Amino acid sequence: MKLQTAWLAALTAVLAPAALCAGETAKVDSVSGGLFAKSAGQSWRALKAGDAVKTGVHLVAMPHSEIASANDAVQIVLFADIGQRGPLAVLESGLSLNEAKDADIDFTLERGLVVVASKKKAGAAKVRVRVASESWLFTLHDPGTKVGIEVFGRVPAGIPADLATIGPPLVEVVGIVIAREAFLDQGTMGVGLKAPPGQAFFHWDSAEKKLAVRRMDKLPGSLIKPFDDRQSKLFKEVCAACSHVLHEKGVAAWLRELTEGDNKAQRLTGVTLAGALDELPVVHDVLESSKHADARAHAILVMRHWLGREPGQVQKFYDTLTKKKGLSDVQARSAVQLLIGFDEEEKGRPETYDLLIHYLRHSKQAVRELAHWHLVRLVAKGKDIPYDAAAPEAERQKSYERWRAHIPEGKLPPESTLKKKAP
Amino acid sequence: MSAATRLGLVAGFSLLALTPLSGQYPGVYPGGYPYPYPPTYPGFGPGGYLQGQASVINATGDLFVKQEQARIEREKANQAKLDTQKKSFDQRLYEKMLTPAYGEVAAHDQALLLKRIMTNPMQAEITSGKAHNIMLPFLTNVALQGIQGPPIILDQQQMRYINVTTTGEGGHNLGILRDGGKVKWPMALRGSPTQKKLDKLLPEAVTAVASESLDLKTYKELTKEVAKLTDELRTKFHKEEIDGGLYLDGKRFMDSLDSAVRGLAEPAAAKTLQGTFAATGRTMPELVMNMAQKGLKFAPANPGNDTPYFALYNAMIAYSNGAADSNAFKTQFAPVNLYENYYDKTTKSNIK
Repeated sequence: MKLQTAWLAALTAVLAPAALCAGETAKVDSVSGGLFAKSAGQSWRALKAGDAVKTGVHLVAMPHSEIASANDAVQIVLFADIGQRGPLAVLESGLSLNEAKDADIDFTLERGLVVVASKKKAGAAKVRVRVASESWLFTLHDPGTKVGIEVFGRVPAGIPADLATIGPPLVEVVGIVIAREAFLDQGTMGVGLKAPPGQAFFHWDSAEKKLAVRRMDKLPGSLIKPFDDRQSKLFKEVCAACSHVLHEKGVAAWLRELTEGDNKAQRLTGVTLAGALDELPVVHDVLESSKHADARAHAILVMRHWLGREPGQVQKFYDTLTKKKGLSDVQARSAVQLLIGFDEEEKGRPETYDLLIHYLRHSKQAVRELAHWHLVRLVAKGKDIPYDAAAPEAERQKSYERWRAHIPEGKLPPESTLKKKAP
Repeated sequence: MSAATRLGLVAGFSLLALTPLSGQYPGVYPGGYPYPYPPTYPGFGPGGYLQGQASVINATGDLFVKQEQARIEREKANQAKLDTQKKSFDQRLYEKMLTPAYGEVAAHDQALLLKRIMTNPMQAEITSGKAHNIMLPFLTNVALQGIQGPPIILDQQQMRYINVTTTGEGGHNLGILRDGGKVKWPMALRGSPTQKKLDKLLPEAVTAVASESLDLKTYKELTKEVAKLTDELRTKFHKEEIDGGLYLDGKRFMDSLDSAVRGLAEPAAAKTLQGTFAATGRTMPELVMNMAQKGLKFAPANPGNDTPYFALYNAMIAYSNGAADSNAFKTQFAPVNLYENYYDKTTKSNIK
């Protein structure tokens, strides 16, 4: 009998399709598009279904991948957006796996959206999720329990005179129990969560550092609404763009090909991927030289997203601009400042508008694009003034003059709320 | 669940974040969130990847339409009730209801403004002293009526950085020259001959103003040099010798300096520079009474001295909240509901 048991165990070990070695804490279940992995000091590589994932590896999914814990108790689904923004401007999803000591799987959610689901046939599954300064232990009580978690970070607005004084990004986390019941253990407190109808929705941000929970009577119907034909076609295009063999021409060359293409979905996917895979020079080049306004606007979003990923990104970005793109100190600082944007006080000062309107004639297309991006958001009437940062100088000059006429030097926009009598 | 279905879930999930946490949290995006721009902008995005969004928007739109229709129906019913009641009213009184007396409107607006300033001010309204000036008359009233607020001690070190003016909002602010005309130049302005010249001229002018002996020639020279330094700053920015952040810092400083230099010509300049006109007081009642007695208003903060303004603002809020426990203060602070008041007075009934 003993021999039979040993034989069965050995056979199982040989035949098991995803048997994991030491240090491997998860395996890839499926990939739609691309799932990219990077270990410290190494370059990105594409993963495929069945591949094992080691502890400490950073994963980036575009647009959709599924991984499972080593013991197959928990599945993590990574989702992405390519720029059709929701309120939390989620782009790619990124996480890194940690050694699981008190849970079936332990990961740090770096950005984007994941859904964790219990695959157990019976009993509770445990998932440790680290996000910003938090470490949460989710107990997924029953098989089929699903919890979605979305994380978003941005550098606080406000033009910094000294880049070294910029603080850590503000991080915001929202989540919802999609199916069945879970318990969230925050370390100092815990809260029971239940899919609608119940306490399904939770929120945390790094400013307040408090977990807030809200009851939902039902999941919005849109949560499970399938794609229509047009959307399915677009999804396939995005998947096709992301599933390119990563090292055929090198990551940067592949991304440049995508961002310079005539297909809009591919262009924007390329820009998102460039940010996701830390190819900042590619994102910068889109902003500086792309003839497509949609790609330039998306590049701004991707850069802001990249800066808000974790502390220290601003300095890295500045270094990239000065060392790899040859920008002067002043030009790089101006670009960083424009990406971070203006705080409420700066929005109320005439010189902010002088600065932005002046930048509409700047020699660098990236600066012109950024200035216009802010102006049309700060000045409602600005949307009526056509401007293309990539247009010939004479055309840009006409737009500049219209802007100057609308906001004379030293003045606030006529529609500025600071001038109106407060309600 | 198909891939498409799963992705549809994403969009809806994202949008869910917009829903406020009723009773527990004001919303996913509290005021001052670092991404303040409209969530959608024409030409943005690939045209619909996370597609639940569109359907959510449509669904929300439908809901709004239905709600609006229900509201219209309700309004129609109310209107019918109102029409019946109107016939029994004196037409003159009815017209008055629609056009409240100026004083009533002013009180109503002022109450709303005060409420907003005390709950959701803009940073610029605090650093410009506007928020403090709006609260000042109400706190003065509290002090005059002897209503006790919480015993908040004002930090005297910080109070030194609070600027005052005799001319109210938009008047000249001498605060930047209060240290005998010695100013701390921001990085973008340091080192030029014009800056060095001003460094010498400003203390001389301040001394002359304090002894009421400033002559026109010195005053004109000062204003000319300030304008010249402002031009130099602009040229540096245009030539990309300084970045946008340094330019904004320098420009804000030059605006303050320009205002201060122009203020030297005002009759109250000597008293301000001598320290006679200053925000003084160990407690909130002392501060507001001193301000009232001297006819002073808060002036904008000097560049880099924003913190004391936020501290004083918070102290004013804490004091007024404490004082608001008193019925006397509540009566003044509560926004006026004109319609309720009208009907209470004339018909002794409220049609709402």
